[in-house]
Amino acid sequence: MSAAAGRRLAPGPLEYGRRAWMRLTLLATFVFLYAPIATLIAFSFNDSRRNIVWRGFTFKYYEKAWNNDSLIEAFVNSLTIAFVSTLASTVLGTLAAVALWRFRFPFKGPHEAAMALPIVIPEICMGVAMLAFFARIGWPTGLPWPLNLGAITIAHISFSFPFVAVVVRARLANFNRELDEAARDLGASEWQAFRDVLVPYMLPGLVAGALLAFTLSLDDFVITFFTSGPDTVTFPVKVYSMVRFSVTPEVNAASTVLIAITLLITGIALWLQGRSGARQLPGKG
Amino acid sequence: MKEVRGASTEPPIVEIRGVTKRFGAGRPAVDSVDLEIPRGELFALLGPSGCGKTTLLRMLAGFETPTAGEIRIDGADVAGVPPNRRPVNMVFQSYAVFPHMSVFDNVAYGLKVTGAPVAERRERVREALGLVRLDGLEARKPDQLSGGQRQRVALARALVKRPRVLLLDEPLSALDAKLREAMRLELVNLRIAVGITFVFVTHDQDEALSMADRIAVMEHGRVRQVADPAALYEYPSCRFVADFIGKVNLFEASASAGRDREGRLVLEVPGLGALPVPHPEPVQQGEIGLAVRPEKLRLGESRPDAEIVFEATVEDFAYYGSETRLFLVTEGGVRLSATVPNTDRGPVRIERGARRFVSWAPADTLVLTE
Repeated sequence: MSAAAGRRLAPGPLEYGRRAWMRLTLLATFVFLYAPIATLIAFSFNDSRRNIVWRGFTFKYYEKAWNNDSLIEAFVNSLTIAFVSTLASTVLGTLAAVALWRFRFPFKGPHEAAMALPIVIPEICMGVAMLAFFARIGWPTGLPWPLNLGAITIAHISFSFPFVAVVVRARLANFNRELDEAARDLGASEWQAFRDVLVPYMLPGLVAGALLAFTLSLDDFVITFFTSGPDTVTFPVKVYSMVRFSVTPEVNAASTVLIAITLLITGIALWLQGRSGARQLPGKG
Repeated sequence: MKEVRGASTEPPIVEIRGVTKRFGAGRPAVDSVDLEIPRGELFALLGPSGCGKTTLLRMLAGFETPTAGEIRIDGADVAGVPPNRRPVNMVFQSYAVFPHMSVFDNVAYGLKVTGAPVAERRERVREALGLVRLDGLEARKPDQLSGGQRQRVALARALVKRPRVLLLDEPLSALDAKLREAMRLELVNLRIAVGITFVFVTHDQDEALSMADRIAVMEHGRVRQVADPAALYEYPSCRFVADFIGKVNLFEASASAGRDREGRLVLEVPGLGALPVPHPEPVQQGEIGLAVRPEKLRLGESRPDAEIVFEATVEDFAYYGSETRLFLVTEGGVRLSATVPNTDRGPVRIERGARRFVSWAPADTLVLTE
């Protein structure tokens, strides 16, 4: 009604969201992050073998990918490895984090640093090291499925459990030790206190660490490439070999499915966390 | 007639004998402490931060192991008994209410882990929550509670276990001033209602004086004095206790001039002259301190008829509502502080530079030899 209400006010000191340069930066960030992915998904529906010009909408390449037995096999391999390695690295990483947080022992500092090494060592070195290691100890090859995935799974566990440990350790840093002592004081054994107080507290860290381990395993190429044999091809390795001939929409379709699965799992994890958080909100009983 | 066992013949619920706790090299955190806490007492461990009071409490709870000495709870030596098997429970400074459990589950936890039947659990939790007046909040989560309510949860959670001794670590320090005042009274009443021995740790002398039946004052890991609040305040055993509990004017006597005709000790204080003090015990030369509480000082505009009287100038004063504190300097250059209750309404009739006669009774003077 008044003149001020009609006119747009200049942005306030902290209203960054209303500033042109901030909006531009945000836009640029989103374009850089998601334009390639959007293109990948869009062209998975492209009715063209060459995959350069848009020729029309089709599900043909999804069908083709679905009927590509070696691609499906690689996909199942990847999911199996990711599942087992996530489980193992979550348990191992959590135990390592708890041990480093809870106890004092000689060479604790070096121990902690050594455990974080797989995070900083170049992947290519880890890959070569794994290859050399499994060759040296004479790891059996030609085992039936899924035992033939053992070497890759072990390699995946060894590079993903430090990530879990780091995430869980960060969560533990803010733990109020009096909570643990309170449980002990009320009659809980050390195990009961761990189960009833520490684990529920660590849960968001566990979920985050497990998610991280899962995605790390699912899309790892370098280390997997060095530890996989001809009969143990994983999804990234398979996609790579397909791309070497040409980038067909089939590859796009398979990648889109992988993105969808990753988003679904992340969504489920967020929903689970949100649900446990919602129970703590006031008046929503 | 039935024989009634007197409180004095009953063995103490907590016996601490020669307990020392060392964390690495250096001065021990707790240094050969001997204490006896009778059944049903509200006992305070009072001292500045780092005096070892919390370490002593944690040794009672079983979270620390004494380096030397013996702790008996209800007659039994508790050496090597883990915290979950001791007949004591603790209210932590941070309350340590489990954030992921409801009020009910928090209070029931101690019964659940020891395998109490569900029906008994429900009944005892209801009873404990009623005791701390939290009925109706069973389903709430800790983050939906106020600080005071969280403390009640911590209290109920400990009391539901029916401990022989309830340990409280700085129970009121996290509450705001008004609530703290109210909780003091409530804790005292709660102790009377449940009849359990309470041992609490505090650095707040007001808290200890207003709540405790008896107080142990600690300094550098040692117990300096154990007494009831009034005895502690009026008859401190040493300079540290006199200074730590309440406010005090402390003087060092340079020499003893012997005893006067009434048998009182006459002490020479630099700047104040010879002061008579009733103190029948013999004293050694050269280590005698004198203390007078500020509220024992009387101020007048004309010279009163008193044995101990000085003329002094008001250097500064501070108005506290219920009382006014004055900081004075005598002719001899000795600084004194005095508290005057504001019994009358109206403006404060004092100003800087005013002259006042300060006097106190010889019987209000404390002789400190430690």
